[in-house]
Order: sequence, then structure tokens, then C-alpha cells
Amino acid sequence: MDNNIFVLAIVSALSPIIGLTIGLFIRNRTRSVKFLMTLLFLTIIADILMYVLGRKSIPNLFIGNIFLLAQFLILMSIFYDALKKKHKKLILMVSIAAITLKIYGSIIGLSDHNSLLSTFTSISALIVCMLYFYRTLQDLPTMEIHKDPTIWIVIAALVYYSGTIFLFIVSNYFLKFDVSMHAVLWAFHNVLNIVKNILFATALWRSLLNRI
Amino acid sequence: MAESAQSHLIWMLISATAGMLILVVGAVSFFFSYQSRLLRERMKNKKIELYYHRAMVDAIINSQESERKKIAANIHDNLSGSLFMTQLNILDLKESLSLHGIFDFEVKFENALKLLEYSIDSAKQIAWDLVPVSLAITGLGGSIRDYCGRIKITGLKISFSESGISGDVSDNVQLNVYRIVQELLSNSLKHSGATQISIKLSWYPSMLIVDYSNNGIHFVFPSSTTSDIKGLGVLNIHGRLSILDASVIDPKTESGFNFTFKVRYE
Repeated sequence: MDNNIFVLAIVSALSPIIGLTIGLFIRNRTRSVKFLMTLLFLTIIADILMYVLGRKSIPNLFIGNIFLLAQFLILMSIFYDALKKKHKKLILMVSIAAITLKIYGSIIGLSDHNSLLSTFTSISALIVCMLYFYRTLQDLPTMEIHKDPTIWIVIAALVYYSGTIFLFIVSNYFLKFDVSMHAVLWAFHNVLNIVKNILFATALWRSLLNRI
Repeated sequence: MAESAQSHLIWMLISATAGMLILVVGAVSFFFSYQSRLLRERMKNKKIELYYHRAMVDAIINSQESERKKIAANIHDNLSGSLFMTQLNILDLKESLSLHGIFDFEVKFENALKLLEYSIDSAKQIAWDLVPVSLAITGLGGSIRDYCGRIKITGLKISFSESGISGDVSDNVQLNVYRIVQELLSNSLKHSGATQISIKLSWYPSMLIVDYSNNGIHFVFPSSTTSDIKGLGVLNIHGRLSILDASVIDPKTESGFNFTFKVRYE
């Protein structure tokens, strides 16, 4: 069982490589592509750092918290461009609130998993994703919507945040009262992380195809 | 007991996560299907709009042609006829006066007769331009050649060529192609400053290609999707192309003017 979870963790940590490799072939990268590639790169760095610190028995959850915030802010920047700056105030407000929650989390405990921040970013991201769907239905930009890379990023965000929202809500409880559950929770998260990275890779693949 | 609680919690977590993921899949599926349905409806509406637009252009051009026919008939039957009768009367009067030995009026009569002859020719020319009767006699190629032959401007060479076997095209198609060429020639004469104009008609089985070019000022013919089309001539050509259901071929040259279109006929 432990071995399976370890393999899953390795696959999850390496899953951004597919997207990054595709991204390297894209010429004249747009802002969204650059943001997405940065996010995938940060995912690998965060996983490596967490693994190294974990092996040395140094608390590593703060890296996870920083990564979650960075991921949220990068996705908000992508959505900001995709929504053509129409919901500037909302995106700016949720971004500032997430940063504030991170600072608050850091004050109350660096080594804890910031459950509040995770829950807030999940709900905010889900709202913004729905807003993107609503806007797309109003504007109807193209018949072949599956060829639009942004839609794959939105689906990735929807799957990841909707899947992890309950995980993040209960994570603090499990980590405080039942440490043995940590591996199970992490395995859950890793599965969703792999799906998210595959969907990000699909977005970059579509972006590459659109430029050929 | 603790293990049972843990297992219970895991199942709750799995159920909640699965529930959320099912919701997401539902939302995404709904989005895709609703988006494609909306787009299909929008395209359907656009098609209807286009159909009405074409019908309107068709009606305008048809009524224009029928008005032209009426005017041409009036000029030919009434005006030309009365002018011709006047000419005959004056000729008769001239001969009568000559017989009576009155010659002083001869020069004035000559002038009046010349003016009358000019008026008759002008009336004929106007009637000819309004309704190209030659289409029925010499066909499309012959009519265009004839029209080109009547344009006499110093320093301008108009060449016309026709290849292939002339197809059995309807009067409406012939008239619209003729009008388009007429409009293009008129625009070239007014604006291009060209010294050479070339018109080529290529007949293929069930297809006619009209290739028009000149060596004047570089001009790209605006497409029908251009929002800001200036000039009635361009609008008129687009209207006629739409009636013919013709497709415009991209220009071959980057200098002067080139306009090629193909018309399919049964």
C-alpha cells in the first residue's frame, strides 16, 4: 500500500513534465501559455522541495501553502486575461483576500496546513470558473470550443478545486488527530493533481496545434 | 472502533469528492451542449438573415432592370420614333424649299438635321445601354466585345478574349455578368487611370470564369464581408454576385486591379 502511494506521489510529481515539454515546442507563447508553464515548473519545484524537506524531517507544509497561493494567483491571472478584464474587481478582491489569508496563516502557524486558505481558494476558483462558462455562453466565441486552450485550463481548475475542496476542509482535522490518514489524503490529492496536470498539458497541446 | 470511524470518514470524503466531481462533469457537459446549441441557433438566424438580404437585393436589382426596360422601350418606341419622323419631315421640307428655289435655309436645315441625327443616335445609345438587346442576338461574349468596341478613349487599349464553348446560360445570368463587367469598366475609366484593360471569359462545362484586370492604380476589390463598403458600384457588383451565387477568386497581381469570379450554371 505504502509502495503504491509512493509510486503515485512520483507520478504526480513528474506529471507536469508532459505539459512543460509540449510548452517548449510552442513558438510566440502567449501570456497564458507562459503563466501555465510557470505553474507547471513551480509544481515540480514544490514537490521536490517538499520531498527533500520531508526526508530530512523538516516541516514542509509551508511550501505546500505557498505553492497553493502561487497556483491560485497564476490561475487568476490566466482567468483575468481569458475574461478580457471584465471581472477585474472580483479577481483582484479574491487574490488580495487569498494573500491576506496566507499572511494570517503564516502568523498563526507556519508549519500547519492552511485549511482556511485552501478552502477559500477552492471556492473562489470554482466561482471564477463558473463565471468563465457564463461569459463564454454569452459571447459564443467559437463553434469548436474544445480547440480553445483556456477551456481546458478552466476544466482542470474545476476538477482540481472541486475534488480537493473537502480534502482541504478536513485535512487539518486529520493531520491533528489522525496522522496515519495523511498518506491517504495525499494519495487523493495526487490523483487529482495528475488529472489537473494532464488537462493543463491538453491546454498546451491545443495551444501548440492552434499555432501550427 | 477508531478504525471503523476512520473508514467511515474516508467513505464520507470519497462520497463528497465524488459528488463534487460528478457535479463538475455535469456542469461541463451542460456547458458544451448548451454552447453548441446556442451557436447552432445563432448560425440558423444568420442564414435566415442572409436569405432575406439576398432576396431583397434580388428584388431591387430585378425592379431596376424592369424599370430600365420600360425606359428603354419608351425611348425606342416614342422618342426615337418621333425624332425620326421629325427628321423625315425636315428632309421633305428641305427638298420642297429647294424645288421652289429657296436655298437660304439650306445651311440652317443641314445643322438642324445633324442635330436631329445626333439626338436619334444618342437615344439609341441610351436605349442600348439600358437594355443590352445584343445579349439575345450575339450572346454574352459578343455583347461585351461590342460594348468594349464602343469605348473609344485615346491611349486606352481594351482587349477582350473568350475561350471554350459558350454555355447555355439563362438570360438572367448573362445580364448580371454583363452588368458586372459594365460596372468594372465604368469604374476603371473613372478612377484607375489605366492604359490597358483586359477581359477574359473562359467557358467550362457548367462553369464560367470572368477575369477582369487593368494596369491602373492598385486597388483591391472590397469583399462582401467588409463592413464599410463605399460606392454604389461596389455594392451593385456584390448584389449581382450574390444573385449569381458566384464566388470571387483571390486577386493574382499586387499591382493594378484584378477581379476574377466564377459562376456555376446548369
